[in-house]
Amino acid sequence: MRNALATALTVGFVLASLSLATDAGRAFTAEAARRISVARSPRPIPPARLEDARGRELRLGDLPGQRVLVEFIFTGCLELCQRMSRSFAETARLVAGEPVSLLSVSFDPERDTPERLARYGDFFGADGERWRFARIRRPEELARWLEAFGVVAVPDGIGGFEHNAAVHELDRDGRLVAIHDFETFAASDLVGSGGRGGGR
Amino acid sequence: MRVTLALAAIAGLTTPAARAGLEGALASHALVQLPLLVLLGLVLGRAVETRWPGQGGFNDDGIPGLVLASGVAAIWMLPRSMDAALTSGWVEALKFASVPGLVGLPLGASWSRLGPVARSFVLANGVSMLWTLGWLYAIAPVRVCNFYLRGDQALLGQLYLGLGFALLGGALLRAICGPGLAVGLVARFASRPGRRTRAATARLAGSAGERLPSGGLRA
Repeated sequence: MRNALATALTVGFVLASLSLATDAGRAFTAEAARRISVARSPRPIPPARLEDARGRELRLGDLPGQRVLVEFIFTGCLELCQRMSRSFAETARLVAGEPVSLLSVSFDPERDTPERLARYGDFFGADGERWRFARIRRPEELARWLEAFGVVAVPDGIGGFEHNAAVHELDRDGRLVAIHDFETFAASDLVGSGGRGGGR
Repeated sequence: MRVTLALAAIAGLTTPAARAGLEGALASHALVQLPLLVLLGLVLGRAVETRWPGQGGFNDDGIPGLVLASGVAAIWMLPRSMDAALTSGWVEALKFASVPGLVGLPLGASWSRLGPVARSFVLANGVSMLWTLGWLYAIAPVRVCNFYLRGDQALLGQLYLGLGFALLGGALLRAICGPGLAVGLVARFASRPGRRTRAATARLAGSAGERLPSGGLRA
């Protein structure tokens, strides 16, 4: 009797814990978990001073539009960032009719000088106004930003980084409201007023 | 004494130096730190079972302990949990408490009570899980952990695959040669030097042979 009771209780405990640990079976990785968490409760992004590819100081609030789409890159990246930036160029085209700004932020501020960012941006067709490239020079501000966004860049031992990649959507108040897959992004994915398709 | 040592070893693993050393690479996080915590928990569980057999009737057939251990172990094998342990102090603390306390301990307390069917179930599931995870990690084109490199992930996959084979091979050997295999090997090695050792070995082999009639002790 006691044994059967204990079995039933442990089965219940294990199922509840598994459900809690995976958002009811929806997220088995940290990447999936942060997307669900942001969609459920938008996160405030702490203030940071950015420097864009023309050497201008920039804050999130300076960017025009109702929404800001943010990607994180480093220009020395040979693989993921190139794919992501190509997708981001496509995204820029997709949201051309929307009140949206695009921002590509480098997490390698030592090497990614404004000149380098400008060359990289030109290559992908960024106009430097609506789609800007920028770096955050102060290490503590960069660290706080990456943490708030949930972006992790791990040095790969050969001068580069391995990192997670996505399109981060911020609202007018600088809150992170959604994280989109960069490869499948469509303008209708935009949350709220920005998306004419109504979003999800 | 054993319990004190096991608790001290768990405390030792929580020190910043040990954590930095073992959590720096995915393979040592998953295949050294977590298994060590489970092993230390097993020691605690054996002590609990000795002092409080069957845990007051709540764990008579060992199934509740097995369910608890395998469920909690499953959680700590998720890439998400391992990442979370690196970002959140709370999750890290929960790991150091629950892996010995809710995986090793209940398994150690239950193992001697489990029947052959339950034990085979554990073995078969362990092997197939190691192969599935190993194959997945070895070939996955995406990183499943934000904090570890893809090369690390592929290495862990290969180690999982190898470990699955080792576990299966060990179980097969045991099934063919009997549980006395290890004793038999030790006896064969130890019987080389002097006469006195040989006599001692014969006694050892004899007593083991009596206890375990199927043992491979013809040496």
